[in-house]
Amino acid sequence: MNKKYLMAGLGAVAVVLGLYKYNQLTTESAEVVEPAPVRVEIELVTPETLDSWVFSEGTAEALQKAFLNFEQSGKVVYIGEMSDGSQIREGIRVYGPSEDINKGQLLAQIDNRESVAGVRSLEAQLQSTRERRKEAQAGKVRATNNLVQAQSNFSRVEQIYKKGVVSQNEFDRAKTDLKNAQASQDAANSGLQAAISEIKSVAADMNQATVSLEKTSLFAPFDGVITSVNILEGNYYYPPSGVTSSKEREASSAIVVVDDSAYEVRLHLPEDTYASVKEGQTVYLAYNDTALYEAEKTGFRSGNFVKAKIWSVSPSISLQSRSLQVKVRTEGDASGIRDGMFLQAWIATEEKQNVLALPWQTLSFRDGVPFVYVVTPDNRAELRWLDLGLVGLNRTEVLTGVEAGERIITEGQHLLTDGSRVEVLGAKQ
Amino acid sequence: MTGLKNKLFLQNLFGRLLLGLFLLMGTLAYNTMVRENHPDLEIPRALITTSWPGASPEQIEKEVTKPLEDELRNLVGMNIFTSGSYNSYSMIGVEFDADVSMAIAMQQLRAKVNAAESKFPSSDVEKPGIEQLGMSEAPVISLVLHGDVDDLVLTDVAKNIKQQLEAISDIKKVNLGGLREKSLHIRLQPNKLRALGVSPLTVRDRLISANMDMAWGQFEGDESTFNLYLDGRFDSTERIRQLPIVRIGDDRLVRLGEIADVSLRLDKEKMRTLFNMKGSVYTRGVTVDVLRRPGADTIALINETERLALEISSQPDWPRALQLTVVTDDRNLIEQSFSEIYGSMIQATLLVFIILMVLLSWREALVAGLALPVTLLATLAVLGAMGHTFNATVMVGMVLALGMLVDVYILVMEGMHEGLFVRRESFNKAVMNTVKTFAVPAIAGQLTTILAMVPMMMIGGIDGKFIRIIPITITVALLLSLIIAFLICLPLSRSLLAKAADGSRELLVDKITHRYRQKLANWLLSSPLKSKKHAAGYVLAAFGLFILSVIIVGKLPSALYVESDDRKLGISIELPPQATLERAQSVADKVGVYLSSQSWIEKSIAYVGAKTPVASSTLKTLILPSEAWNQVGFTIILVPRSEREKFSFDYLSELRTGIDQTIKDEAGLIVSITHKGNKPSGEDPVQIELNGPEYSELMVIAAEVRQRLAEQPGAVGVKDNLGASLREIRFRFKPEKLNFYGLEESNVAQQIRIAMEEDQFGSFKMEGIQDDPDIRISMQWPSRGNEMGGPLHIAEIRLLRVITKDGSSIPLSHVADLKVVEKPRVYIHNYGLRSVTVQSRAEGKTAAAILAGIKPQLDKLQSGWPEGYSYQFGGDSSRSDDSFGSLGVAFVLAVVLIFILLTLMFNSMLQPLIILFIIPLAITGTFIGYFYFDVIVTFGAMVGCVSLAGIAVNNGIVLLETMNSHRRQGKSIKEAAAYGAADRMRPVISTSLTTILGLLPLALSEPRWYGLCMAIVFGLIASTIVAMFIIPALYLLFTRDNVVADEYESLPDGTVLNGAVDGA
Repeated sequence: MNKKYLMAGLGAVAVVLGLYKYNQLTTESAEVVEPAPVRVEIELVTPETLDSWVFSEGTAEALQKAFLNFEQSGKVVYIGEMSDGSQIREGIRVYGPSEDINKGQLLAQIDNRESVAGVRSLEAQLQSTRERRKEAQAGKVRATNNLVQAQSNFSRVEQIYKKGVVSQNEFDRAKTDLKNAQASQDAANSGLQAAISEIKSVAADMNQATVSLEKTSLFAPFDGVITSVNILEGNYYYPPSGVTSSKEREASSAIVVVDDSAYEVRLHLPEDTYASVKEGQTVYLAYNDTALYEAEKTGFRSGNFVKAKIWSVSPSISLQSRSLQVKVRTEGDASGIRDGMFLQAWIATEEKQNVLALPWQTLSFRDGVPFVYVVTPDNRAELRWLDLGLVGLNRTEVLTGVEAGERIITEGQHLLTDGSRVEVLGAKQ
Repeated sequence: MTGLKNKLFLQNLFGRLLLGLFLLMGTLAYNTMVRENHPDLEIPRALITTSWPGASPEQIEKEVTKPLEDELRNLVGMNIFTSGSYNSYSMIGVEFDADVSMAIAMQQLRAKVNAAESKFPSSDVEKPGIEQLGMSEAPVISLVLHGDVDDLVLTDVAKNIKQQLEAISDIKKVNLGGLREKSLHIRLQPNKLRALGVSPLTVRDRLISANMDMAWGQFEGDESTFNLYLDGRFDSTERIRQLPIVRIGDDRLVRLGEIADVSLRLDKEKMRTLFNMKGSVYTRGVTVDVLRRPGADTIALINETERLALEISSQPDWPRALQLTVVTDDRNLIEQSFSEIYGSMIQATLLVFIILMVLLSWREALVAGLALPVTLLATLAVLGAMGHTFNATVMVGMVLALGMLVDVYILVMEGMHEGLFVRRESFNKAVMNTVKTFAVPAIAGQLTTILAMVPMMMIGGIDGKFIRIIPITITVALLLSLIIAFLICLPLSRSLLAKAADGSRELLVDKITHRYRQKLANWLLSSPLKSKKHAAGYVLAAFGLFILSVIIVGKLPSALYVESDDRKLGISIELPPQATLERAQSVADKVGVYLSSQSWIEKSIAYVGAKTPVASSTLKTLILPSEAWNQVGFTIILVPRSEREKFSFDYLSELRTGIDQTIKDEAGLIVSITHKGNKPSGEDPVQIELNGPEYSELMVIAAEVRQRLAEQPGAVGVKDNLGASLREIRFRFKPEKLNFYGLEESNVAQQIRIAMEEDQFGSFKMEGIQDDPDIRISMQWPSRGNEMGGPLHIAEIRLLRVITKDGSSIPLSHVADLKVVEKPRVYIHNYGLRSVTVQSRAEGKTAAAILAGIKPQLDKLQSGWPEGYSYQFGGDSSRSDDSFGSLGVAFVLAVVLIFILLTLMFNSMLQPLIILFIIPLAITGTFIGYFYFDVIVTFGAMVGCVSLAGIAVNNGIVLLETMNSHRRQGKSIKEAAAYGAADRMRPVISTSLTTILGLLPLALSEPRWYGLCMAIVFGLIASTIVAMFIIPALYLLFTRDNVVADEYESLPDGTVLNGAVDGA
């Protein structure tokens, strides 16, 4: 009997255990676990200042640049010398006129013998002309004397004739003599006038000749640097002809002197930037984008760049290139620039104060529409569609979608969906 | 006839020869067979890679992947058909049904690919490459080349090693990781180009036209001949620097050196690899991953690789500072897995031997015990001859067979025992009697088991192929056991048994049997066999239990496979898409510190900027991006199982938490762990495939589904295969503007391409047969400084400028509009449709349970999706219905085959039904056992159930035969039933016991075999107990009085069966 109870007891235990397990199997399915929160980095949106940029490039040209040329051809006889006896050359700093010195540094001279010969021939001409004037004056005196004699002769003959003492013939002869004398005097007068005119003309030529003699020398017009010397001592020089562009002038002028303290850059901007580019905007110039890129990280407080301002904006669009000519002039230290350097220009076109902005990498896009996730007070991600405004270099203005003081998820957003639980990591701000 | 009989059964010459043959062949096979961890199934799979340099993923998808897919779509028998379209290349993964012949599949594939080629849009598209894949594309051995040398030397040496290793025929491919290729880099300076008005295209054209070698034919003189040859290709960087590009004015020659930085240097760093051996710090190096050709002998391959590596590194020109270290190799893993199963096989043999000692006299036990290893060796020999490899599955088959084949030996030895000791016959007579009486029942008993196995061999698919080896092994072992029992054991037992004929003492087990036999008979007569009503009551109760168990089993957790211990783990960490290599390195450093401090981790390799090869070894993962700066991967090798406390999969949650803690201050990371656990597919078990026309929408849907899946208990490591999307800036030209500036679209496009990429234009000539480095043209970007690479910041895109024909430059934004969109890194297709797979591991719950839990939510979500978007379950669960279904068919087929055999044997339709009734009773035991012990119903468990059917009916056959013989001796049905059962109690229990004990060591060794073994164990226990009273009850119910005598004339005399037990 004991066995039977034992068996019954075991059976009962088995059944109870079975029921319990069966219950477990059938009831556990409905539960839901909360997935672990996604770890995210956030940024607190605060109003800030945002710059918008227009990028361009152009060639730097010095504001003051003299293309010095002899105005006549000739052999170069002298090239200016420095205090150490070396000839002037590219890169040498030269001095222009100042208060006490009327002319700048003498840079070069060409042979002036031909001009001197000209002056001499003119002078000879002047002498002979002067001789002729004297002759004419003497002729005039003679004619006057003849005339006086002819007049007195005529008045005597006329009186006699009126008394009938002389014949009609006699009277007519005297009358003709008088007329002849008067004609001779007129001729002598005009001969003298011609001689005077000729003297004046030769004198003018003379003056001319002496001026050209001065122009065979070149003087530095202002303080600056020689950027080009295209003449050699002993070579013959011909003045350039048909030169139009500054590029050609640069190559053909005898000596080019540049003032390297201030430059102008002409930028050709696409027409669609017309609205944003204004006179007076700040421009950063550098040899390459890398330098500007580095400088931008410091807010243009340091770096290898030159600051400039927009000097003028042409109101018309060039037909050839459909672009807008903008002139930019450097401000302050421009030692980073050389004349003729091809420069990258970053124009800070617009500065907006007090705007909400987000870094580019924070934004996600769906069908081209940007959105971000905002951390709600209960640590969930909330999807917000955005309207973007001004585009900065790394950040972009957000017009609608987020408000100041909200926490925007900057990293980890690719794992989120609207309503996901998030864990905010040690906030960077 | 008698002569033959004498030769076969009495003279031991033939037996000796046979024994010698089996031993020789077996030993030979044991030593020479290819050993591997998993059977290397020949499944036709291939990867088709087509590259088109410079094309976007979208172009690749539309113009390369689609034509290929259109052609391939109608190939028959494809299981997996997936593709990934990337920037510049397309990958299509195809897996055929496991039963399609490899040769035919590959031939068809090639034909289709050829047909598709004609539809490619441009001649720049390269010819598709077809790579045949094995079961796993994970490296079998990983070496690391490390040391304090110049990176250029490291690159050269690594390439040399790769070249030499690839000469080994069994190596399919050697992958180098963490290697920086060197190229001749021409980095143009944008401001110089613009200042001089030189277009990058001018540079490119000049370079291409100057970099040329050409044979100029032959000069044939009277006395000698010369070849003329243009030696134009660049062979020094100085020559490239001096290359004239343009002439400005009369005397301004611009050479390449003025506008570009020219140098032979390492390419942009794409990834790094580091390794760590127990306790040390992470060392940087180049990994050399060796991939095996399908079918090759892994261990031999590893040995050969090691030998060659040693040879290479001991050559005189080897840089002394360099070291080549083997970090991981599969040999240890295979040998360990082997020794584990081998251990359980030994244990099983010993256990069976002990049972034999109890059941039989020591001499008989010795004969049977010695027969066991002979059978196993012979099985191995036959399997080797059939072309199988020596793998874990074969061993498992042998362990399973062990418990079944020993029955034959017991039977034969009991027959001898009875003849020699009970009937006091001569040895020869005893042998002949044993053969006469036991040959047919023994063959019949094994045949039922084999018949249960046969349908299992016909299951298709990978799972079928994977499991097929087990029934084959069992069948071979059982057939061999018959041969060995009768042709070797009997003749050769003469020396042991003939002399001992006088020692007929009663065994302990005989005494016990005697005591309980009568008790059982009495109880049977008093309770179940009291009347037909009682009998019917018991039968109905048993049947009720069966119904109950079927109800229960529906509620049991099920999965296709359970994971087993795996020493190799993969960790993948995905950083936010914009992460840099430095950031990835810092994450890897943190995780590395944690990993190297864990005592259960032996060593690891870290991949910075790439996934671990473990995570991308399946076909579906191969087509996913594996190299990107936002990827960090680890391959971890655990210490051997004996040196750690838990199974590998039990460390996973600890590992996950540990990693999570170390990276808790990093935002936006996804960590996933790959634990293959010896499953055939090695994929994440939970897979939800989402299909639809547009990725923008699919990505949103995938995010929702990810969220929902993460909410499911048990789903861990939720991710999708698309990964984080990339932002794409799309440009569209303004044609009027281009026209105004006299620019052509293609010109602008190529200028920008050069600015952004590092495309290759020709190569640079090196001395000898060294690889010629590529010549690459790129642009210097402000944000990169002196480093190589494209722009880092979006603002720089606005700095892009195009040079017009007259030498001036205009901003790109002036001639093109742009908008920002988000696009996936790769466009994934599944059966030609755009698709995203959301996946996770299943821990603590089965994949099926997780999917069942999420299904209602998915259905609800789906109603909110636009037209054309749908979901379906993939992975194991999509196959499990098929596999379970085909097992069901196999089961029915097995039962029918057994029924036919039994009908022929018993010459009756009714009695086989009695025997077959034992099958549901056995399965009841399995199900109830599963229910109480929380076992997951797996494919293996189902295989166990089918096998069980074959084993369990043996008990029924024995019982029924005895009952029939009792009837023939004139006992009443009731008595025949009672005494039949009581008489056969001992053999039934003993054969069941050997089978059960033979299985237990294997069941307890590895979780993956637990289900299979325990299905048989539970079933046998139940069927043995229940059969003892249900079979008699059924016998009482279904036996008609009059026919009995005729029915069994054809049968051998059943009395001998229980002779040994009766001792009558």
